[in-house]
Amino acid sequence: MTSDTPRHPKSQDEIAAILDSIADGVFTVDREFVITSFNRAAEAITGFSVGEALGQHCYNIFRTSVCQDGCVLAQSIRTGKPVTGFEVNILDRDNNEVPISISTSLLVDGDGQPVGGVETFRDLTAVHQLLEEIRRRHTLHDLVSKNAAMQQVFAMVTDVAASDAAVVIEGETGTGKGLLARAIHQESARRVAPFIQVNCGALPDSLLESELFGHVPGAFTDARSERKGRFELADGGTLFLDEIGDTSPAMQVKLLRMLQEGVFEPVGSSETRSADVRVIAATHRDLQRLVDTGVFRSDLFYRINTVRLAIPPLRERREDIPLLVDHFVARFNELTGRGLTGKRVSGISGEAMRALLRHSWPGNVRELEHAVEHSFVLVKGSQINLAHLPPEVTGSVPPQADPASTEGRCNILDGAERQAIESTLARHGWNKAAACRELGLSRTTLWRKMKRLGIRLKN
Amino acid sequence: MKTAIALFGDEVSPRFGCAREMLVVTHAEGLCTERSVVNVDNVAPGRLAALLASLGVTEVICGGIHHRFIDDLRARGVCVTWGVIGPFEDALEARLADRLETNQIMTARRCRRRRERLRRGAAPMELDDPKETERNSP
Repeated sequence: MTSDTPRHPKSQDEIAAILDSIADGVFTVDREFVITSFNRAAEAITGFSVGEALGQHCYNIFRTSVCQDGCVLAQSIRTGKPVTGFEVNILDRDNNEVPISISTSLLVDGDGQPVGGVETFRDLTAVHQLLEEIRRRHTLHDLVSKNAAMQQVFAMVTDVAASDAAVVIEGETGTGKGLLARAIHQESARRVAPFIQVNCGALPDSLLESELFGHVPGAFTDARSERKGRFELADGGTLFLDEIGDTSPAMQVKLLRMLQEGVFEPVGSSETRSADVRVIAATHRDLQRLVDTGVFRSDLFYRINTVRLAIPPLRERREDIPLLVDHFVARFNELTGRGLTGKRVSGISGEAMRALLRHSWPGNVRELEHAVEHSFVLVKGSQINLAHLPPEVTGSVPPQADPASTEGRCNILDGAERQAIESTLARHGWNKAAACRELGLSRTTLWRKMKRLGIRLKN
Repeated sequence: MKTAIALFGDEVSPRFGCAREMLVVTHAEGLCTERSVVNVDNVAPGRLAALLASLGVTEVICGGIHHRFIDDLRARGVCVTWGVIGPFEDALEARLADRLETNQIMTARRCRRRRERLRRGAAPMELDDPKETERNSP
């Protein structure tokens, strides 16, 4: 042997020393799955000493959920093919769950005859903690987003929650205004008291007044007993007034009095009552414009508009779609795991994700949630494919290239441009001159864009 | 008193939630009075603790066990001796003699011999019969 020729280690001690120097856990088994070597990193990760592990069946030391049914090492030994990067959870000596990534391969002797298997494994605890930290940064209670505008909103929530200032949340239907209001409540000192929600747009004036302020017996037909209003029920907590932009001028006056003076009278009563309530209002309409047009009282607007939070529509934060899909898949997995359907979905195919990224999502996050739920109903295997998505999602835009590619991005931009032009034209009764003025385009440019995007004038 | 042992072949199951069978033993003053094997293969993991409690089990012996199972069992008045490794008959014998502890390795004689050989650096015992290897695989 020359000095520059690598010397092959021969003795057990030399091999053990080499294995011990490796940062990953390494162990070998014979054909009976009895552990024949166990390095130092394996001791650290599992908590079992080499003395305890040697001579034991590997399943008694690692105790993963696949040990008894679907052992990866057994698969490698049986097929002779290595497996890499398979993630499992082990239970360590102290019975703590430890996520690991394992790689396995067949072990052969000098004659090429199989003598057992070798497995290397890496502790993923730190990686999982890091992923959890990233997830935490993109999550605020039930809200999930990595969009810059949403991150600004998330950052404001803690400060907003610490104060008792009135808040207005603006955003299209389905963007999560209710979830944001609930997050503010949960972050505030009022979290121990009730969070009460009222949809002002869903009730006629008379019913809304009774709903908000309560009524006394005989206040109206069928009012046989006293009923507390939402303001009283929310005493000490938060009242969320959804769709406040849809309230009538008469109701706006009553709301203003309650917000200014903190007092109200139940319907049919002259008794003045008070409640300590923090009000969060929300609307899908542009309140400032409603004030300008005289539909919404300016004094009420300024009373509730101490802090204004705007949630962008989903089409303006498409980067959140994969994150939201993961969130909903995890949630529906949890629901189905409780025995509703017994289904377990691991993820979504690239083709299906591209369809989701292309869709314009007029119903925003709520529509996406329903699309995922729809897929859960139809999916047979462990992956959501294009066929499992609702037809309005898959049929909205013809199949196009990967949105991550230049072509894909162009398609997304085209979609947005088409939508902007179509909505402007619709707003102006398909009057091109008026649409041109609003869009700041010449008639020729608008005509050219309409031709390229395939927009046809409607009668 | 009724004790359930999670089974995996002739050993204590390495993971409670993955066990397909439970040996339920009724015993008093160190003597076994009745024993039966309960098939839990089709029982949803979330229902295991309720099932055992409904059978009157007050103690579970197993290998690893997820903390949610321990919490569920304890909430139903069932105590858990976990981390037990080895033949279930040895574990039962130790339990009846009041010698069983958490994280106890019930090393069989054959296993002890094998371990001594490995510690000495000798080649591990090998089975020549491939059928035997298949039967023993987890």
